[in-house]
Amino acid sequence: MRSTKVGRVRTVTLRPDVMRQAEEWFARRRAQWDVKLDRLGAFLAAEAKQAEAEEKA
Amino acid sequence: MTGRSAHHDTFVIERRYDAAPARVFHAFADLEVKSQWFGGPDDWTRGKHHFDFREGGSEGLSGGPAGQAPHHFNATYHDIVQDQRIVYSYAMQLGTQRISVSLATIEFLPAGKGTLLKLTEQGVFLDGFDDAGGREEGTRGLLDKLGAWLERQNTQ
Repeated sequence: MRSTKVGRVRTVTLRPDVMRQAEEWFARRRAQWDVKLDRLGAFLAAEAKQAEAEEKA
Repeated sequence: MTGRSAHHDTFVIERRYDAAPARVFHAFADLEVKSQWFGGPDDWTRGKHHFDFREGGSEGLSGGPAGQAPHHFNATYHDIVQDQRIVYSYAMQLGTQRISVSLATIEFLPAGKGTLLKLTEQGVFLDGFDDAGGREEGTRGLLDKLGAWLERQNTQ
């Protein structure tokens, strides 16, 4: 975001440039990993539960 | 497309699991297990999962929102230390356009009876890309930032 002031008027310019696209892309890569690693955690927990049930049986 | 450019980023994610490093490692090393948690969002279409887990081997997966250009993930495994570490590089493409290339290091560290998984990803984002959904999210983000900035001005 760029902000310039001339007299009493402040102009704010939004710059949806490539730098911002890059930031968003990496934020999304990270968010996708978060989702995947959560899913992995759920899978590992289910696997442990199943192994425990099989041991008891 | 906005001309040629290259932007770099690094991020680290750590997770603790109540499973031994060998079991967590296995979830990355076995196709049947990996396909249960890896891959795009649930509502994406999924293509065939090519998986050759060995040093020098490759992995490939495509998928995307129905009716849109598919995302392609293509990886090469460089370093595999059983139960301890995986290093691979991968490229992401949207249709025919290469968006990013990354180096991913996954470490499986013993933590009590469980595992501390440490993922480090270093990437380069290439040339920018045209993505309607992302643009919409981005615009919302910009407007949020504008709102926050205006609020700060008001309180000064």
